[in-house]
Amino acid sequence: MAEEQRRDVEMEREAGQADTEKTEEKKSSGGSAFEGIYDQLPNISIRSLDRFILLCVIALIAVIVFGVLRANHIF
Amino acid sequence: MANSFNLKKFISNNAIIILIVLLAALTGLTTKNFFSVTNFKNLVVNVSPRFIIACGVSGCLITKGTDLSAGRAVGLAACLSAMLLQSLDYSARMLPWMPDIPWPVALIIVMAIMACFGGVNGVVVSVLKVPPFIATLGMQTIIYGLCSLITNNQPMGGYKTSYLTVASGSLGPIPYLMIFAVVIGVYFWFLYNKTRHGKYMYAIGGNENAAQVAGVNVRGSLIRIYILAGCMYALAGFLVGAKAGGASTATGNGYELEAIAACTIGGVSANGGVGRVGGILIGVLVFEILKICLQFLGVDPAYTYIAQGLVIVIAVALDLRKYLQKK
Repeated sequence: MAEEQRRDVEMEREAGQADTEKTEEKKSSGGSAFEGIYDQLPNISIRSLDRFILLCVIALIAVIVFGVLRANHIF
Repeated sequence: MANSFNLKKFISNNAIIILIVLLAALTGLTTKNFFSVTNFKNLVVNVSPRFIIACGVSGCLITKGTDLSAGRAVGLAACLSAMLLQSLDYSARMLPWMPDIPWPVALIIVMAIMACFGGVNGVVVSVLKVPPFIATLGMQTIIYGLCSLITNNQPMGGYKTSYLTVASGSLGPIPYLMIFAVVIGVYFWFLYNKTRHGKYMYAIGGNENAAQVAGVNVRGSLIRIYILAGCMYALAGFLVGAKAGGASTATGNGYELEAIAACTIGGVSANGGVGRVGGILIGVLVFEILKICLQFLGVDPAYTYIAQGLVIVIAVALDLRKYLQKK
């Protein structure tokens, strides 16, 4: 029983140490607004990102085409 | 099978460049004088100062930082150059007591002043550990305020002919502005690829803690990067002023975002540690070609802004895609 308690205390202490190390690590490298910018994003699959890129490319083409049509007074 | 995979990879990695090349081809086929020497010269003259600014910003981005003061720094440098290089017989001289000084001396003075601002940025970021986004945003406003103070919000002109020649002159068919850009490009290529400073910079961008443990002088490197960036803004401001034939507090407004966007398009990762000078040049070219194409096609500037914004979003999404693939 006593051994179990001691083990629990040790585990808690280790966990605490790990947290402190993490915080220190964050502090020393946390000098940038861009730091780990992609790590902070929620999980995104490459497939959904590809869809987003495709959508943006279509939007870009649409904007250019629309702009050209407006310039030529077609719209 | 392997070929189709490579083609897909090539297209996904260079989607924006392919789109811009197609747009340029389409513009060239449908309009007159797009593929002309005059237009090419115009492109080179517009790209040169922007490339110099982007080179300055790239160091900050590679080390996971940023520099939002770039545009205003360019404006201040242009105004300082104007004050130092107004013609002696110009009636509305800002500094009537200023003796006639050659333009290289004025350039050195402006670079020294802007290096001080860069140094302050570097110290605030590396020593005081203020996030670069905040530090340089503050510096942007401070520089704008200083610029308004020293110019009394008055636009300046009446430059000496020798100063104007820096932008309008050429060595044979090659504009002086292009020579400046090439020299800076070669210098940055050498600095990033062949020097200890370049290796330290990539190491800091990859993992700052690991770099520090490995013995890299992180503080010193960051301060040097921001000082160098300040010098590049000074040179760009000097050239922008000469090109425009005048300067005001509005000069350089928004250049920082263009430079950051060009770097991102050119493969400088927002996650740090990645970036090449060749890529930066491509990024600046893509942005400028897009603008020129839409101008030739007679598109309203409002649509140009929307297109530029979309190009930036696509560039960041492609950068994120590369990161996810590596992960």
